[in-house]
Amino acid sequence: MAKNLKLKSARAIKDMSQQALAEAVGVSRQTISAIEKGDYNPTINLCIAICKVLDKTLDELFWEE
Amino acid sequence: MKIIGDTHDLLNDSGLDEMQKAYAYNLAFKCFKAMYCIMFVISFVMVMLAVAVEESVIFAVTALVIELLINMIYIIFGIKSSKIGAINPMFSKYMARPGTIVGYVILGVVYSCHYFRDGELFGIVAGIYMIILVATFIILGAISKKNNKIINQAEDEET
Repeated sequence: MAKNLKLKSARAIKDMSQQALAEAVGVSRQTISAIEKGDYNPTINLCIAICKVLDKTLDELFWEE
Repeated sequence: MKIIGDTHDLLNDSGLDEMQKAYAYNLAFKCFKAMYCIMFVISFVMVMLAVAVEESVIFAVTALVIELLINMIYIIFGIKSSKIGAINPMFSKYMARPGTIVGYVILGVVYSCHYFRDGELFGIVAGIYMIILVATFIILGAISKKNNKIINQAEDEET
């Protein structure tokens, strides 16, 4: 699975650490790290929660072109 | 299914998020598979040794109890999995065939008659071992039928 750089950059734009994002969506920091590294495929519920916190759409963060 | 209450041990999943649970459950499945295979082989070897040595009744009874317990857990796993049609489709198709179930019934009758024939204690132990094994397969056949029914229902609802 490829790295999710879109998530990483969206998080950086919002000036959020992995820990802050993790707390906002109710998961551990390791999970956010694993998603960014492409080691974990999140559930749709978690994707939506991340999108809401980062003010992005699912396509913007999780659609591979 | 909550078997044991919340405890501070490795098998307590409270506090884990979805990724941690996904990984832990995946590992637990593999560990369960390994443990089942190991315990099955141990119980089989213990019964064979008990039959060959013909000395230890406790040895044989322990093997039977182990086999019974692991098969019970295996069946519970099958029942729970079949409720959502999560049994391996190749396995469930094979096990649900009428020929397979009839075959196992015949096998059970033949083996138990063979072992019980002499009426010796260790023949009886081996016979009971085979009956447990065959009964497990027959129950798995029934569980597989249910699993296939759930899958077919889902396909019907889709169309």
